[in-house]
Amino acid sequence: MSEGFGKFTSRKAAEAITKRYIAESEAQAAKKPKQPVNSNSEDLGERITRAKRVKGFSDSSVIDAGHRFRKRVAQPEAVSLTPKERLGNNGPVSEPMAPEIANRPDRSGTTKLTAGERLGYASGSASETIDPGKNFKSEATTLSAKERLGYRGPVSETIDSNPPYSPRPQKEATEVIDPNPPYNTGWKPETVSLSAKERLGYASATEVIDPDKNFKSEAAKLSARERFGNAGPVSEVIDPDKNFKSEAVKLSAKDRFGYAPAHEIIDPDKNFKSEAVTLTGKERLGNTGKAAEPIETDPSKRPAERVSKLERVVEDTFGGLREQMERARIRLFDRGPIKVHEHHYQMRHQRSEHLNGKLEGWNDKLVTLKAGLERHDEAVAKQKAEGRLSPNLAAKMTTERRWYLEKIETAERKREAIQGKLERSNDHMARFENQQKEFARRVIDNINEHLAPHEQELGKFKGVRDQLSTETDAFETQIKEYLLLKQDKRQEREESDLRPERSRLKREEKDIDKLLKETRDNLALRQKEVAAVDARLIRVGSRIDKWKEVRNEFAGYTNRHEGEEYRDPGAKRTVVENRENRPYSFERTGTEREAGAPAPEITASQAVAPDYQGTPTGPEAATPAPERPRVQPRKFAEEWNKRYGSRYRLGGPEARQAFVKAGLSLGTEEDIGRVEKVIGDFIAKKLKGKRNEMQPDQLTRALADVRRATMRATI
Amino acid sequence: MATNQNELDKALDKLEEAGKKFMDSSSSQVNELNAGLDELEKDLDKTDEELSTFADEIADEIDASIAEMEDEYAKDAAEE
Repeated sequence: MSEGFGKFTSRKAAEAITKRYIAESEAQAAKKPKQPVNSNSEDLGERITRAKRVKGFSDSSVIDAGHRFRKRVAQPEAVSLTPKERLGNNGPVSEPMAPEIANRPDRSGTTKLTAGERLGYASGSASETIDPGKNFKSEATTLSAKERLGYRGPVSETIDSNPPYSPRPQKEATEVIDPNPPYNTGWKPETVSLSAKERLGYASATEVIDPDKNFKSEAAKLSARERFGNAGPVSEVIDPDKNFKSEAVKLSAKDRFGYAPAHEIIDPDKNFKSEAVTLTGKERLGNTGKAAEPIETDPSKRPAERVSKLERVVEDTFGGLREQMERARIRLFDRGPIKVHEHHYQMRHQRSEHLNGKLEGWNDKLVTLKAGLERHDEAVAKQKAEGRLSPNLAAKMTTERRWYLEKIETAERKREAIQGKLERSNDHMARFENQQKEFARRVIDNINEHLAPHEQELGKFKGVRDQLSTETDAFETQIKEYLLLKQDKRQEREESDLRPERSRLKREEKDIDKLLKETRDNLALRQKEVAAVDARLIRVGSRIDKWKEVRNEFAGYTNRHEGEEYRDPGAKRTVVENRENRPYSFERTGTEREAGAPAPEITASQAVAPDYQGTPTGPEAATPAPERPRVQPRKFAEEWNKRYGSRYRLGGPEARQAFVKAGLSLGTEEDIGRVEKVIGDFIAKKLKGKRNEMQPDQLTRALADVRRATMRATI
Repeated sequence: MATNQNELDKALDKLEEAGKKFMDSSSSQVNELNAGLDELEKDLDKTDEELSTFADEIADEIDASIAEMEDEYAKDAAEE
């Protein structure tokens, strides 16, 4: 056994060998005469020398056995090895144990070694106590990076879970604060003020930490003032339940960027990938970033096949919508203004009617007065002739005649005034009517001008479409012939007894079938395309028709009095009696006339009397009145109630009955004149003789007012 | 048999030819119609726009006429 110690790679093996030699040496010593030996004062040097001699160890590799044995006696199995011994370096280092180390009481069984001692590359002697009782693996040694690696880079370090030393306080968030700290005995309810600068590096802040509270359960909300002092621009909510990752910190844009008024909330719970941030194209792509590709909206610039497919889908889906939009656009054309115009025209018309009635009233009065004067003059003349005219009576007669003359003069004056007003009103009405006609004519001409070429084009297309239909029909007929041919072949095959014949016929049948299928598929495809064309034709036709509708509507205004001078068709139906007993006036509608509804009273003299323009006004002379606007009776009643409801409120079963009796439905649009008449009659009847009775002219005005309001609301 | 086969071939050729002719003809007609309708729709768009503009203009004129009527009416009411 001449193996050197340095050849052992394992410390345990080295120990075992050492023990064995020691045991052998002791056995040899036991054979010799026994000498009194003090274990503590045994000449260990001698024993080692003996052992060396026996086993042939070189001096340089000898362990300081004296030290080892001392350890074994005082602290069993504590062996000190030099780094070279432990790590197997065969360096010519002799490491005698320093007496102060050898005599040092061993307390923990661990020794702090210098880097040189442990790793063997630094100069300097070292001694180490190894406790064999401990497993080396469980032995935890805290070494600085420098100690372990020299001055090289950082290393990861394993810390024993049961370290023999007290835990070193951590500086970061993992620090555990002892609620009864052994330090700082003058500790008060822990108030730690940290300036914002300390925490955030730029702004002042104040923070209170209460160590009595468990940080985990503590949800601390501090006002900005508490946390940051007066001017702290930082808003922060610290939730100790959450770790730093889940902590939501709100910083103003200025705090974060120093300049921009941006508004952003950073949620540390979310990683950056899940954080939704809206950035402008420039921010995301920088100035050189490519812009998103614009979608081509012009169908002519898109590829043809895409256009056809997309267009078809869009047309199918949004066809109705487009039609609605077109209708809405045309509706904007707009019947509104012309209807309002018509409404005003009707008001003017009514005014003329009213004035005409007044005029006729004065005419009647004049006739009466003149007749009275005539009678008076006759009576005076008779009295005179009979000589019965006393001076007293003559004076009375003179006074009476003067009264007549004054009355006639006043009536004449008033009549003339009314006549003047009527003429002016009629002039206005004529002017407005002409304007209306002019508007209508221009609209019609303009629409005609625009639509004519379109209608022509559309006619042409319809011709092409018809031709296509004819050709399609002819082709379908041809296909049917081949179907018959196929049927013939089948029949022939079924009737045939010869197998080859049947096979041939079957083949022929198949050939026909194949071609027919192909042809019919093509035809179906074409028919689909034709159907799409048909749909487009209908749509285009519908667009043209909408304008035609507008044109026809305006034509109604033009044709109303086409080629006629203005005449007031309703004037003679207006009854003007004496002021106290005059019914309200209204205009009968064409519907009423057709239905034979009773007209207001007309005196015989009025019926045959010439109108103010000298035109006969008998029933035969009446021209059909223009179609009046239509309105729901309910709406008319609502408007009435808004204005005159306090005087007489329309509603209740009686009013409903009146409408029903007149054949009107509350929710259906009816001729406005008819509605007005029914309501007027009803109110006149209900208020008659009552304190809040309306005078006929008041009622007329009120009804006209309500009518206008209803018209406005309806339009 | 040969005669029958020839006849059938001829008949089928005829149908094929008729089909081709129909497809060509109808295709050109459909294309013509579609092109024409495209054009017509564009024209109609233009017409809609022009007539709408015209409608606005004439609506203004009608409004002016209405305002005149209202003035007249107000004057008459004041006189009475």
